Amino acid sequence: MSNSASARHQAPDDLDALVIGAGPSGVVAARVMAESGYRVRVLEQGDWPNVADYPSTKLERELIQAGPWNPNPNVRRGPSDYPVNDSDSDIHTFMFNGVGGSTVMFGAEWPRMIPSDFRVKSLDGVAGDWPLTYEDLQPYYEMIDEMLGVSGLGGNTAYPPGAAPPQPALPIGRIGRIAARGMNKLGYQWWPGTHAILSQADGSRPACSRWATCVAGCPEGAKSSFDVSMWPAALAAGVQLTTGARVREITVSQQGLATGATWIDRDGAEHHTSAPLVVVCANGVGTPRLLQLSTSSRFPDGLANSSGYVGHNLMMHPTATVLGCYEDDLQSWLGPIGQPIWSMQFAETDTTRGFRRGSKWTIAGIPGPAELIQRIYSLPLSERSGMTGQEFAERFTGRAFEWVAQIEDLPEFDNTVTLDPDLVDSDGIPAPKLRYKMSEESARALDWHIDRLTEVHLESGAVFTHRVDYMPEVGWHLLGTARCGDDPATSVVNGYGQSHDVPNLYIFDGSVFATSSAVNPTSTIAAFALRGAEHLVENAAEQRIPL
Amino acid sequence: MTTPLTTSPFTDQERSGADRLADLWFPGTARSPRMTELPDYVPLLGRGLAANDELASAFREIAVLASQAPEVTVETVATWPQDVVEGAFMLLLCTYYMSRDVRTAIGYPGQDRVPVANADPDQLVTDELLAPVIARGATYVPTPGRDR
Repeated sequence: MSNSASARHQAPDDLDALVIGAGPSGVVAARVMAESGYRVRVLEQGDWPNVADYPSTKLERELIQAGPWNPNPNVRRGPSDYPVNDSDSDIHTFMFNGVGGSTVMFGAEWPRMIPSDFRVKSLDGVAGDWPLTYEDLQPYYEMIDEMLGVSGLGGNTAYPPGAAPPQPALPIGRIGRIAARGMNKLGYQWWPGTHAILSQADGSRPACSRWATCVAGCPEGAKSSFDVSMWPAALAAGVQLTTGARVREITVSQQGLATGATWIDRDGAEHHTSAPLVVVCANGVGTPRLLQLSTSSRFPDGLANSSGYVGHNLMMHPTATVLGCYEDDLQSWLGPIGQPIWSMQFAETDTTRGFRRGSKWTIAGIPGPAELIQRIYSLPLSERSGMTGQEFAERFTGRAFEWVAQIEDLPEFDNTVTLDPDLVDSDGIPAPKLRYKMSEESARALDWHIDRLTEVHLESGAVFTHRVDYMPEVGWHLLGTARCGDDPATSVVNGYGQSHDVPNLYIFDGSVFATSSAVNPTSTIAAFALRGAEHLVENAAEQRIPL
Repeated sequence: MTTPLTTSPFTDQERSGADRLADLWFPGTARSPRMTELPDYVPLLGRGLAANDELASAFREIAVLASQAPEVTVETVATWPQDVVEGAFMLLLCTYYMSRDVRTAIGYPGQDRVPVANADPDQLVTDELLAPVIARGATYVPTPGRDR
């Protein structure tokens, strides 16, 4: 039994479901359930983002992004944030705690996983297969695209046939055209970017205005941060949202079913919200942390953890970039910042390269001279400053872009999220501790891809290239710590996000990923949540109700 | 937070060191102005300092060292704590390129609203550009479902 006796119980919670986390998976699940007649409440530790706070349009943008608007919670240290002990991790976590979750700060690249991503074990003999297929998820990818207003060009040769994105693709820009020419010379696959960004106005939301400051918060509302693209519909469907609510524990009954959650408000007061269904959507670090905090005599090793897999197999997508500088005016300060064109040429396994699985490539513009000089950070300061630095900015501002390789990270059991024995958040709750070591195979993949990225820049006409072999500061994708699978002995949830151990507990965020794919995960997170929530609703009559 | 300052945001010592760092790192070129000669140098630096407390702290620390050194050169700076130096440089770098004069000099318009509806033809994909990709056909590996 949980230790929630001291919690301040409100009037009986007349709910059908409690969702923890107001990011993409949380709001998708809440909306689906509410539109099906469920009474749903969402607890979110952060606040509503305020466009006026975004650094996007401010002169000091880069400085604010380096501090109070940094995607790393350890740097940002906002009142909504919890610290993450990443001293034993090769990659630092990025996340945003607020309504809309990390989509408030994401670049809105919107690729899907490829079919083989779901069959890694069968095809390559590594990791494990997902308990669902691309074909299972495809209709949900398409539904999410419609809900958000995704832009892109149909017919991408990297994917099976299907519906085209509902909105036309964004301009690929001059950087896209010059990059595409280089790719064509080498005979490589590429495609105009698919984005969770409107290319045409939709209702009250305008089309993209190419600020290229997507990750600093879209000043237009064109980007599908889920606070603007999904939450209005969820609220209209009747979802109750409580912000400033930091969940400390999921409570359970003597029968081993979830009964709700204990949470702490901004004034430090403790509350308990009861519900017959609990859905956890707290990201690949927050979710295992919460499950491990939720111990009881029945679940001494953490909730839903009979397999011992909660918190294991953390995957984070090692990333490397190559900056290419050109003589032509490429207007490379224009958005979208990420993925004007992208490539899945090397996403599938070819073991002659020296590693299994692959990488997603994308180009990214450089919004301004300060960011351009930051890209050559690994050079001695004397080569980035003085007349040398100034002349570099004069010559290449607007004439440079990056090729980025995002490596498929295979699950390693010893890459973990655990509870730190000492570090706590502002409410005294143990903070997560990461142990993440990039595998030798991932390191080989990075080296291989960086060489290829350099080649394509040179083929496109770059006159200067600069490689960043590995970027520790890009831990956007937090995956794998409550993996899905058919076997309860080696997974935490099934293919619909339902806990093997606790049948009225669901998990829909990136922690369910059995493998990481090479692509950005949010479209898959949202599609998985949509499929899981629909399944939950359609099978409600068969679910056990806690007592 | 972003209101331009009308008075110096520095102590005299910090200002002295800031000027020396600005002259070292942004001495000006044939095209770009010298940082200390920007008409809005002091208010811009005030905005930069107000935007990021940690970098401002690093900058002040290095500025004090710079004010005390007999001469501020690349070699001198290399003897100071490098993580703090990098913080100070980051602050000065971002602040320098906040200047309208500097942006004009290097032809950078700044981040601004450029609607997609106004995209020029040379910013768009063409059938000709995509034709080789389509001609090569599908690249994905088809997979059967687990029950198929």
